Amino acid sequence: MKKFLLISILIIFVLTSCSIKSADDYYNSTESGTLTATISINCSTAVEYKGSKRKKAEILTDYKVNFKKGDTVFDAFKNACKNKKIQFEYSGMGDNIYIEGIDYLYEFECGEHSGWEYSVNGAFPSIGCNAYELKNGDTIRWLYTCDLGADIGNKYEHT
Amino acid sequence: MNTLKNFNPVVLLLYFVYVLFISIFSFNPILLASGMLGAVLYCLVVSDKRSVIKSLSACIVILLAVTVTNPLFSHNGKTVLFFINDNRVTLESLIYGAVLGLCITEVIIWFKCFNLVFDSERFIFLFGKISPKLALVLSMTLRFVPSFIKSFREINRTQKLIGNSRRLKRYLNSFSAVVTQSMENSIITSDSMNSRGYGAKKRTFYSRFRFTLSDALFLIISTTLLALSVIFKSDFTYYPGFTFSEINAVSVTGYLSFIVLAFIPFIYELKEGIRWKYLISKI
Repeated sequence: MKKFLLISILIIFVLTSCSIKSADDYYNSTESGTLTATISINCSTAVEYKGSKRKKAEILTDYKVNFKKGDTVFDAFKNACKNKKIQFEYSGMGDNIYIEGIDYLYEFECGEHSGWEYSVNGAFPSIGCNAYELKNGDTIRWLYTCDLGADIGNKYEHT
Repeated sequence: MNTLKNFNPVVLLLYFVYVLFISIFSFNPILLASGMLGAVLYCLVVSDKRSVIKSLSACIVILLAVTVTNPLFSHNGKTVLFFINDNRVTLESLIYGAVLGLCITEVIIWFKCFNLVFDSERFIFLFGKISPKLALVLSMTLRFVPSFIKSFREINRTQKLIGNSRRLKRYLNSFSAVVTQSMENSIITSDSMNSRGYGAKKRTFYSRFRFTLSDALFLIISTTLLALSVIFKSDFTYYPGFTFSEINAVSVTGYLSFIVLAFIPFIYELKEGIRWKYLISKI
């Protein structure tokens, strides 16, 4: 009896902490917001990578997305992907959200130093995308790197 | 009856390596399912049905657990079932999980078959030449686990009968008794080995396994089938959408050769069983 109670409380806790939506519900819900940002997603490095099957570099080009005050890069990115029905996968929670793959292109697919990085107004912040607060009119670029950022202008300096 | 034991252990070991190699590295649902079927049928013919059903039900639990867990951690795939916290749960990752579970459970069942064929004698024959000491230690430790469980059960039952009704205390008592007993046994074993002159001279052993014509035939057939199924292998990818090589004469040859390879033990056992019945009927 005790065990049963414990397990049911655990299941209820897990279910309430997740929001489960059907695909239609998810894509039809729109996020409102008065501020706008511009998002581009590009994987030209993956197209050039030897042995890659990727043909198209532009996944999203200069897309205007709305966001609320206090929203982070991750929130704006999420809304853009939702509106344009782009697949992505993330892991982690809170400030430590990490984007593993966008549009079926995943980290480590083009060598062991490959993955997604983001820049805001041309600079690469070295913090998680859910920790960077956006300002109105910011330009976000999600870029795929095959060499720890060296090929997209964000060389990794070992300290 | 277990007639597969008549073959040379080296040939049998190679056979098991072939089957496991293909089923693990192909990751193809058709190959995995046929390999599973071959192993289960062989187990059903050779060992008793109750133990097979027991391990199969354990396998089904593992299979279901992996199938359900994989889509929660992998969100790749085109066919969306629903969304959890902005991450999609897809059909592709569900199927991938099922195939992964099938792969794991198939390895478990093939190892069950392996245990049915390889006893300690065959084990020592296989590894005795490379390292006699290691083979001896391995066969002794492998024997130790079931005997430990058996004496634990016996002591526990006796404790229950003499009125030790508190469960945890009883388990603790039985466990300490069993540990003491096994330590005593190890001293006795080492004394016995010493007094028989273990370590005084290089260890020799006699094995009655010879490489016969039927062993050669078995080796040639299984190696040919392995080569055929490796050369004519068909690809199967899961992400982002399912793609598989088209089904034509080439891929069917690859599939068929693996299916025959996986069914060799079952077919052989069936053939020997029929022959045995036939010979009995003639008496």
